[in-house]
Amino acid sequence: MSFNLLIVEDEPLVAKRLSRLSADILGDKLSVQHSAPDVATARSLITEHTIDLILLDLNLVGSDGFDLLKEFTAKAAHTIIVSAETSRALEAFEFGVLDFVPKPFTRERLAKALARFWKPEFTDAPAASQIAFEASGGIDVVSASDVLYFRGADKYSEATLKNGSVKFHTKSLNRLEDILSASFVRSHKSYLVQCSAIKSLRSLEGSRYELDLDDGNSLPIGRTRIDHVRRALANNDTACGGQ
Amino acid sequence: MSIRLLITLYLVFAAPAAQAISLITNAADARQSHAQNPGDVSTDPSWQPYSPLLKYDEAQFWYSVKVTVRHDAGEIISNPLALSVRLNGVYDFYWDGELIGSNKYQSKSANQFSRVFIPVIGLEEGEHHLRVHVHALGMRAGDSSDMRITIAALKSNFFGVHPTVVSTFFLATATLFLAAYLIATRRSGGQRPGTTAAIIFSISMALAVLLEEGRFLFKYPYSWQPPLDALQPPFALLFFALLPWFILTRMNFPNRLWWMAVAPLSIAASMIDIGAVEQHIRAFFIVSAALLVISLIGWQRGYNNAKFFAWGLGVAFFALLLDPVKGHIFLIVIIILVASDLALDIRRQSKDAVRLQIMSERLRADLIKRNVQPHFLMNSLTALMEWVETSPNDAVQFIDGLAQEFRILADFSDRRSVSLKEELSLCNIHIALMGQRLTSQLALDTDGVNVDQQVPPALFHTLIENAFSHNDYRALEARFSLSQQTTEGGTLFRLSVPVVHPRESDQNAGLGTRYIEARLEEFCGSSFRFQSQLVGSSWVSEVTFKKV
Repeated sequence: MSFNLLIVEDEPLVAKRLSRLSADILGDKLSVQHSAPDVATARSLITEHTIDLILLDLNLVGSDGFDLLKEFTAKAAHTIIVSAETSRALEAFEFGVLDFVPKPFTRERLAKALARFWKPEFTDAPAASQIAFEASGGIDVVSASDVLYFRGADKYSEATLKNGSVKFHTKSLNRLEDILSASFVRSHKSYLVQCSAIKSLRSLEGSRYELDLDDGNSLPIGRTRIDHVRRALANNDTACGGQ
Repeated sequence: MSIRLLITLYLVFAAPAAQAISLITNAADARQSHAQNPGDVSTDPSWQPYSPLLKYDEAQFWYSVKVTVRHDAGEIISNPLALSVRLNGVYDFYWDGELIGSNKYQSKSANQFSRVFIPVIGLEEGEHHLRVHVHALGMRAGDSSDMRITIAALKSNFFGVHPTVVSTFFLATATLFLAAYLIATRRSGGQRPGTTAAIIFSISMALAVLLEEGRFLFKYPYSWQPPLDALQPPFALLFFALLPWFILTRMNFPNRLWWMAVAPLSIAASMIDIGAVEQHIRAFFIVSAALLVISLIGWQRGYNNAKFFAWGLGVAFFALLLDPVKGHIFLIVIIILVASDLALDIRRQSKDAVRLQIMSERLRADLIKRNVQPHFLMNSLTALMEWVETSPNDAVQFIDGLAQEFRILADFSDRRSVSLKEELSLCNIHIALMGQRLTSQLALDTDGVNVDQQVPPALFHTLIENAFSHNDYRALEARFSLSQQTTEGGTLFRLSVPVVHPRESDQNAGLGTRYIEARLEEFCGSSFRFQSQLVGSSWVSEVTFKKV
């Protein structure tokens, strides 16, 4: 699988280094590489192209690091932060970035971060606790614990919140699972469910299963995922334990 | 000549137990005789009207004056009164022909005994005769004998010492101690506005008091007294000039020289002979009243310390009413007022010094912190990594520049000021480093700068760093410029940096600006002005060092 990379970095030498090392590390897996020295160019590139992974500097001239974090983690693409401000690493992980690469970085450290794009389940990064949603007025940030479940809808996802409202996220269900697997369980190819919101697992006729949720709703469980769900629920009554 | 022995005020305020007794003399009735043993004033022709000028060296003569004692009805006389004489020499006092006091012999000290008791029994109401046999030791022909007989109430003694001696000793000690303390404070860098005036004022007051009253404290030959008396006026004049100057300075009163007219006016007013009150006491009254009014004006205008001085001078004025003969209480209040004001100021200064020390340490920490500021340092190291792998020569050049910048900043961190030459060197190195990192052509132009001028460390460096934080100078040519103008108001530095894709946030905010203002305060107190604003396509920062 090849993918498209976007480097958002205003330091010419750092951008050059990221570009050179990424091309070297990813080889054939890298389909197209874009580079943006500022946020406006990055937005434009994201609109015009399908971007799978963003390497983002949090200290861009003209931008606030927190706003950047919210905006880019709300995108469909995964985000890896490359920054000198290591004090923001925890905050970045809370918003669901794949990794935080502190500057200066070696080839090996960047390679490790890029590898998480394929094998996020091996990540030792903390699970996202905040989820940024693109909204008409800007970005809405919702606590991950307020989401009951996500339902896959084509390339997007639909989040049902505990208060009954529904929000759309531009990330696919797979990418949300990458960053939320510590507290959510993939019960179905179309559902990613908050572990703490599961009331019980119910078997139905014809070897079918359903999850009963706290809010009274029931969600189907995929036949191939029943063991995975059972394991996850057995690990912890309130959390899925990440596997 | 007017009446000189009307001392009702004294009796009213200083001797309340005897307040109903008045002793009235008419100086015009005073007589003197150079006969060996003159007879009755009315019959002996040797008695002549009193003339203060001595006829010959160390003259011996008799002085005679009528004293009228007046009682209020019902008053019980229980407190002894005394007569005092202001004359150097040996003398005997006779009250109605009875010897009531004498210093008997030539002492080593001028006027060893200047006071003699009036026996209570001799104070019956009516007319009395006072005679004094005088041998004016140490005085020359033509000197003024200043034969003034005044009434003193020996109200109480302090361990056998007359209160005047105690107050003289206290005043002299306090003023000299204050002067010594202020000199020591000044030498250790604690100079405050008015300190020099206070030092001279204190010494003048001590000397004036000692010259006036020292005869009661120290023993010295009679012949010393006339020249010592001659030394008094300059110190008294200094007192009357420096007290107003000190208070006006401490209040930071504008047009101080104009307001100083109070000094000659008070002295001139004191010269007018209005009888009962001593000239210097009148001058005290006038100067303290005038300064009280000035302080009230200052209080109303919100000047420094004006409220403090208004209260203090009010107390001093009241003290003068309590002690209108010697004025010692007034002087004690004045010296306490001066000392307290300076002590409070020095205390404030000490607190400021501690605060400045803390600020200085914090600034030092800030400077060091900015050396290792993540954005600059980590991006520089990342660029270095890239150069090491792809272009080692660039890496070497960058490391060399980085080392120079760190070396200079380390040197600056311990200093409160640096020369502009050193500052510009740091700025140029930083600009060169950033130019290499951003692949830009950057330079700093200077116009009319005095490279020897002292400035706070990393002042312009911080402003230039701010410019890099807030603007996008990648891959372009940009020129910074620094100019210097010296005007009557002070020295103005103007740093202009090009604005390129600026951040939305205000460039004038943040750690850099706080650092600059703190450094400027440390460097020159409040004598600076710092402002920053957008002018055309440049961000212009102006630093003015005001002339003090």
